[in-house]
Amino acid sequence: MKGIHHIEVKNRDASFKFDLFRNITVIRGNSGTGKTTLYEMISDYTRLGEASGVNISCDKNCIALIDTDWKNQLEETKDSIVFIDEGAKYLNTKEFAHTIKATDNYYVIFNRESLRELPYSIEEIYEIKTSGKYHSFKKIYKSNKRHRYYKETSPKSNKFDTLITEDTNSGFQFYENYFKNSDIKCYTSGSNSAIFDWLNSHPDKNTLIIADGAAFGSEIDRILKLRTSSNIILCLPESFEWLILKGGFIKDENIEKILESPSSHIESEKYFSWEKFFTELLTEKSAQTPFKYTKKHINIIYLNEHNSEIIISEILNYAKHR
Amino acid sequence: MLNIYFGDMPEAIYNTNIYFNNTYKDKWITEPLSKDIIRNVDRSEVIDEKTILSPIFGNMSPKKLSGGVKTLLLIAHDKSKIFNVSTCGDNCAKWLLKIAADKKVVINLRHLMDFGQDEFKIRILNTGKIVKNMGELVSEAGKYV
Repeated sequence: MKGIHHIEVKNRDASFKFDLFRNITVIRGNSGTGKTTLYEMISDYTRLGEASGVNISCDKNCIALIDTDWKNQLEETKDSIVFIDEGAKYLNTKEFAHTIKATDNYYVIFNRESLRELPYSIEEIYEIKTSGKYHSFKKIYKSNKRHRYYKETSPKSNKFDTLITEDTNSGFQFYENYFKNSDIKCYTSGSNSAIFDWLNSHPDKNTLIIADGAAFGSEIDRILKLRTSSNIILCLPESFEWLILKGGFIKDENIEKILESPSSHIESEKYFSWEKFFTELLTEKSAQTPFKYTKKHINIIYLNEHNSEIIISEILNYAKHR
Repeated sequence: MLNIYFGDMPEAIYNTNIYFNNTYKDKWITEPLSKDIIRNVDRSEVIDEKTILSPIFGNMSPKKLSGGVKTLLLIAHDKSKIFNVSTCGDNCAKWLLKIAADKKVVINLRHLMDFGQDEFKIRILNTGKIVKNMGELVSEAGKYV
């Protein structure tokens, strides 16, 4: 499945309206906002269809995962939007991640746990906003134009003396080269989950974290809560490859269309996370050009001053940092 | 004092919604603490032990309370089990501290609940350390969730 899907779910008591943009959407937030109500309405519809009295409007089939034999139910579910309640303990397992990876469904998951096995985006984590009987989804994390993510208030300071990225290859090589003549030290954590441990053991550093927003959903909560004890700037573009594509080095009319509306082009069955799609797109489109990209080693053409400034300008007001 | 085990805890009751629906006692609903929790979290008024007035559903059964309220009522009244409190939003945090103000309460958390800006006293059972604010709690417990 791909595309943006608008969903309306109604009964006599409540009305929910929202859009889904990617294969995995996570719903969190306060208690008493209507998460269980929405799930139960879709459960009733799954059991009884229109005879439930619940009205669902969507261009795709909407179902709740209600069977205890969830794998069996998923095997029979194609091209659908699947809602999963917070009582589902299997959500945190490798088996669940492996099972949904190759499906062409979108998933709406009600859960506050990190769900580290699932590569979900920081853009698709919502809470439910309520006005009387009317409910909609509201993003939990906000960002500014430089992809700095925050929950309540935008970070005031842009100063940092340390940069950490989860990337160990091209991305890290790029940042290390860019800051080589500055006082800023670059480190790689090796993985998203290791960033927290690194920050926790370096509370004295003013740290800029650069990671792939497309798959950072499981980490953002605990990293932003570390702000209470650390000076942290969280910069989350979709991915390093997305930054290069945004730079416009490769002339291809399709790239611009894709970047304008990724949802319309990224097939969930093929790409579990958007970062994989952008890596494949950049690798393929750059292959026969001087800008040939490989994930292992950064092409030196991206390291010259002119090109590296183009890439970095999407995330940093660079003049202040070198 | 509130005692929290962070991360996977096989013996904890994970699906508190179903456990509440099948075990709660009518008298829990009309106790003053329960009434306060239901009013604050679900914005609903207890009419009697079988009826709650919700601004959305009108008169409803206690089984229609939110997952967060059900979990708080279980913690307040059922000492025989440890409950998964990741079924509760941050708006339940002050009630957890209140329930545990004068007795030992053990819960299981699988995410970092926000206990607010004020000082508190919580024991992290994974390490045995007592933390007094959110900075200490995140630093001590973040690696387990």
